[in-house]
Amino acid sequence: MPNRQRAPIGSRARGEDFVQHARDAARFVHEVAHTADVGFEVEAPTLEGVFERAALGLGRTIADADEIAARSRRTMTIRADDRAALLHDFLHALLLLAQVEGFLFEGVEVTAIDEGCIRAEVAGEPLDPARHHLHGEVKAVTWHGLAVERRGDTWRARVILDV
Amino acid sequence: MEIRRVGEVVWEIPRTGAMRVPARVYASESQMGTLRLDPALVQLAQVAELPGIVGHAMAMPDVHWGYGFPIGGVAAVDADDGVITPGGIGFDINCGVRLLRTRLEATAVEAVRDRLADRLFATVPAGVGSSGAVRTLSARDERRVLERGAAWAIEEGFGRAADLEHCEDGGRLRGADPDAVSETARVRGRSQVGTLGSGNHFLEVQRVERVHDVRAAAALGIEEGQAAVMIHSGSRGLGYQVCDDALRVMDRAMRRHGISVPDRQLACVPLRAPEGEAYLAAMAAAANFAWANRQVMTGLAERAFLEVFGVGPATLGFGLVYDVCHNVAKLEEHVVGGSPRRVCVHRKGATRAFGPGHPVLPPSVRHLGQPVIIPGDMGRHSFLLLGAAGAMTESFGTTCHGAGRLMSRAQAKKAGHGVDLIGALAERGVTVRARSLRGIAEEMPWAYKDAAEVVDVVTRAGLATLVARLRPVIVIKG
Repeated sequence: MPNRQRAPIGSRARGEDFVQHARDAARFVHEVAHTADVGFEVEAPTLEGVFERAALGLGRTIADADEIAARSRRTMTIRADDRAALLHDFLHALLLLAQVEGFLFEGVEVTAIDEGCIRAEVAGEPLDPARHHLHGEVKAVTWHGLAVERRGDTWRARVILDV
Repeated sequence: MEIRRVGEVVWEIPRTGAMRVPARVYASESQMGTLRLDPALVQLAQVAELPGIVGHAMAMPDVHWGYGFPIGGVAAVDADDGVITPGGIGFDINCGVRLLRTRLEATAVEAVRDRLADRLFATVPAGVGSSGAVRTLSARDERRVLERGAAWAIEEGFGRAADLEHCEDGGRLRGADPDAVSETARVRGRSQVGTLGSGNHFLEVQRVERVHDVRAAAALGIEEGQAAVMIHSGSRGLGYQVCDDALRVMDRAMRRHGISVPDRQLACVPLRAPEGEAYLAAMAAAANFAWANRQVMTGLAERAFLEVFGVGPATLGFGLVYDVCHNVAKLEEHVVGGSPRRVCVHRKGATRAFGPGHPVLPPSVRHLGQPVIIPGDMGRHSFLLLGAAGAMTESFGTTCHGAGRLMSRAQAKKAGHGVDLIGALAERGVTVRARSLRGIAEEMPWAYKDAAEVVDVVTRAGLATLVARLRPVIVIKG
């Protein structure tokens, strides 16, 4: 699995357009109008980037990113059968991190990825009901229309959440 | 897509491509005008591709775009040759609605609406990840919740034994196996029994505004001017995870079973395959969790009423009219092509509506038909219906489940921008208590079809009859 050099989240030099913090997600997370649920599309120049941005799309659906500080980090490794399943399972793991462990994430960094495995670090802090404002409950990351694909130089992902 | 009108409010999508059966849509002409452009009908045609599907894939008049199945979709598959798909049930397994009667006049409730709203809001946990209605379940209690459903909650002092008879399946789906539920699912549900959640879930105090069928209403203990309570919630995090786990397993197993589907959310396996049986056992356990959840909230709501009105339980007269599931699959017998056949009916945002005389109905309502509860949006009417004979011949004993969304959540928020939402609802005579203003914006009446139009279609189609119309007085939301 190709590895990326580890650096503090937000500190690594990248292209101007590459943003990996939830507070900036509005710039690259595009809502998909869905009657019952919440859908979004993201684009990035790299596979790592599109996974990071999809994660932040989920993050801003869960909670108000401005209120979350990057106090600690969590590392996760996810394996799946194909790229779409990998995105599903990655986002599902992040959802559980928030809902089961009560850890809200603000930044995300994919440190290694290939077709069937992703390693990522997320930065955030434990949920504090006095400070954090949660949005509606995300029930699940659905498989409906779930896609990760490359078109030319751009990676795109599409995600529909059951809320 | 070709759509033919085959009845006053019935439309058919003929079988084409990989569809195994035609699809049928219940809708008025004006509803169909909007629906023609809705992805829900494409999803319905995909449902018609499921192996073993019999009769028609069906959409009720509240149908709208979902994930995999359309919301408001119904599919019956042969119990021996058919498949089970968790996407045809949904993440919120046994999401459902219950209606409770009281002996109070609605005017008495309206006189103390703020105090009662505050008390209910403080008593029934609501909102994202809400928890703590009862102590965190011990391993033993967790098994009992999953095996016994509503009965567990009654043994714990929430509601009364008579409530069980007025739940579909007695508030307990048989075949539940707690060991088929993953540890992750248990953890997600462990502290959530007796909690409302967020989104479109609610607890409402309502006024019975109009009785349309006096005889049936009297038999159900309902009369005009009475205060009633409606609760809409499901299996919380436990159910979501059971669905997620099963989709993962089935996504892989499909290839082994030689099945392909047009949408991965429709992942399915033969009902009789080990993965299918394991899911049915886990789904039943999650359904039981949902019944326990609604039963605990019933007890909590009753306590809030007792406290505010300072009366005893007999004077309050809290009692369950009926509890229905609208996200579940059940093995049932129906007549297909003139012969009785055992089928597994998937109802995703649709309600069982067995007609009068059906043997599974409890004696107290058997002569009437199954009570069906249709929640409206929080500013408009909800309805009490009865399943009709037509549902047994036309729709696998099924009718609609609610108003059905009209706008996306983003559109609804935009429409509510700058509007005093709480004030707008107060103008309609509705007192709201909610954890999230954003949640209120997404659930405003303009985001929904009018449930009255939906109910009008199912009654004209002969799937149900109208008993009573209820109007919200207090709305508690996450």
